Amino acid sequence: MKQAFLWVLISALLAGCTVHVIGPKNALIPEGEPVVVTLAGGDQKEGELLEVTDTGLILQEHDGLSAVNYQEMRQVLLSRYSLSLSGDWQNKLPLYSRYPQGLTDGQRRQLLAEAGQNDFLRSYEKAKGQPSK
Amino acid sequence: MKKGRILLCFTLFLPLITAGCGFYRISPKEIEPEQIGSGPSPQVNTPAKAHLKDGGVVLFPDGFKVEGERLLGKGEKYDLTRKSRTLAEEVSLNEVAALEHYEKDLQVVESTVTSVPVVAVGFIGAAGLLKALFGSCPTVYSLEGEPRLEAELFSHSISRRFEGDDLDRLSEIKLRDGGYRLRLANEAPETHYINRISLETVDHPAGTRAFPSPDGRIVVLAGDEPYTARSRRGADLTSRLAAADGLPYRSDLVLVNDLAGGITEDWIELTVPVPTEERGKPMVLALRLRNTLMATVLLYDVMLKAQGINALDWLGEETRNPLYAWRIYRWFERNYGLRVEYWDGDRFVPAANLSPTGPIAWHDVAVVLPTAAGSEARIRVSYLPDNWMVDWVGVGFGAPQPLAVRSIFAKRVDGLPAEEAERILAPLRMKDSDYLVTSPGESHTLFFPADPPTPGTERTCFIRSRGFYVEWLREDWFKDAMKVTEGTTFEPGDKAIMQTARLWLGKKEAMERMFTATKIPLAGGGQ
Repeated sequence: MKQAFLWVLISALLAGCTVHVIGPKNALIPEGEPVVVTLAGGDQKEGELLEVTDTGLILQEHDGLSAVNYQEMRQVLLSRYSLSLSGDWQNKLPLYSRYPQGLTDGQRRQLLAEAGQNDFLRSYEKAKGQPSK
Repeated sequence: MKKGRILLCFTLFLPLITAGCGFYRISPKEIEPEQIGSGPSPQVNTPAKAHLKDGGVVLFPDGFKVEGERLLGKGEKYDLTRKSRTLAEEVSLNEVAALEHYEKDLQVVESTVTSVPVVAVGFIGAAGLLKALFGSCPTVYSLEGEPRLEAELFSHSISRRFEGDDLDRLSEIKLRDGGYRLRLANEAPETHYINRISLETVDHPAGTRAFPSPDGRIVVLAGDEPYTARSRRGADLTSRLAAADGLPYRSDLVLVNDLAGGITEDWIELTVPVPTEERGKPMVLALRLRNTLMATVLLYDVMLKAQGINALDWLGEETRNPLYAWRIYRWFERNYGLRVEYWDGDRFVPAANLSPTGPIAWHDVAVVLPTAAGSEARIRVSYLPDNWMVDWVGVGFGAPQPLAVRSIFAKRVDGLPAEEAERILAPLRMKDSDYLVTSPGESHTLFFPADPPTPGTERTCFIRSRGFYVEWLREDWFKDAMKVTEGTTFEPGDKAIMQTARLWLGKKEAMERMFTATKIPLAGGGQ
């Protein structure tokens, strides 16, 4: 009983003295998390993570909405979390995306229309200088 | 008496806690047991997001409560494109596609160490990730031939507040190519936070065996003394417990039925002849055992599911209250653990308590008991009926010391270049605020470099670990939450034990059939 009592004292003191709680509200944003995607060839794509689909990621990049296939990806850095992921994207990334519930085709078309695009930019097209915007 | 001491404790130290060390949420009213966990209605007090079916989102910085079929709170609603923002004080659950909340960061004061990553305890109805019925905690496999399940780590550390240490014996692992390989896996809808992992090699005298003790030490068992064993209901268990063959002793369901009506125990009683030459030496009792799924029913159906959507808040917020967490921890250990007692000539005297070890892997453990004075020793192992399965019992006299103990950290991760491997391995070396965070389906094969055993000795390997895990909410809990109108924050006590026993009687067979069939496949095809 003495040990248990001591345990309570110590844990309470340690809890009070060594940690403080900072607001997770900073994490609460309506957008998806900013990410840096490193491609197999070494190029990087930066943008907001919009959706994690069966085939890859949908990003809001500076120059438009883009799609990256999983086969092209080597690493994803979640900038605000300093968390780097190197696989298992479909399990790990949805909670960091703007639309973890997934989008319907109609909703994707609406987003593309807002961005003035007919289709998502593809990384191989960008590499060739042939954006489909 | 206990309550009085606790109140005194906080009365004396509250000024110190609050004045000298920054902000913490302890307040005098929180330490009143009747005030703890008595929320008026289902609610989430941590920042949360409600993702809407139309692609919009509602942010609730201060959480929300559920009333009828609505989420109520101070919300900010954004449309699909996030260009339109309006205030929203209620959201129909029919509009909601997914819910998400954020656990709070912890930061060490006056330290440059980065904070623990924010935990997103997620519930996504459409993601298809929540098919598994039961959680587990990190599982560890040895990889000699067919992968073999060796251990489940810190299985009762179900939130950050319950973070704990574990020491598990590895019975199948072999030295190969200059070291040992272990696969560390997340096979359930959980997020694992692994703080530290090391492999411990113990070289001990030939002909002896080494086991972990309940307090995390290594105990060496010499010999294999004969004994007779009986259950509380009088069944002869001697031959059943003589071999570690996977055919364990389990309690008669008559006792579980009794437990559903009032607190009672089952026990195994050993009678051990003490040879004259062994008198005056300490006894060592070794056990191979694991939990049934009864404690899993307690966790999922009584602690979590019965709280509905409150479970999300409970895991993320309520269990941060150190007093509440302590009460649950102590209650769980005391009731769902296993007690070892020895006969002192007059009565059974407590010698050790074993924490629940989980339902997946067999767990080996040894306890050093006092010297046997007479010609016969009696040992009793007691527990809630059908909460444990006991596969093997060994008894020895004397407690030789290990000859060499080494603690080894993983140096490589199979299949990953050094730089990527380091991201996985670095958090595992120190007990600190840096965690390896793993998601369902994730696994890593760790390589621990080691030399061969000292000549003339035998080696036993152990994995020493520290961490906790967080359960993902399941879709059916969310649906059930809509029906909850009264606060049902979990309260430990005999009522919860009896309720668990009643549920266990009804679903035991179905749960055991489905248990092994619901693991999440590992990325990369590992099993």
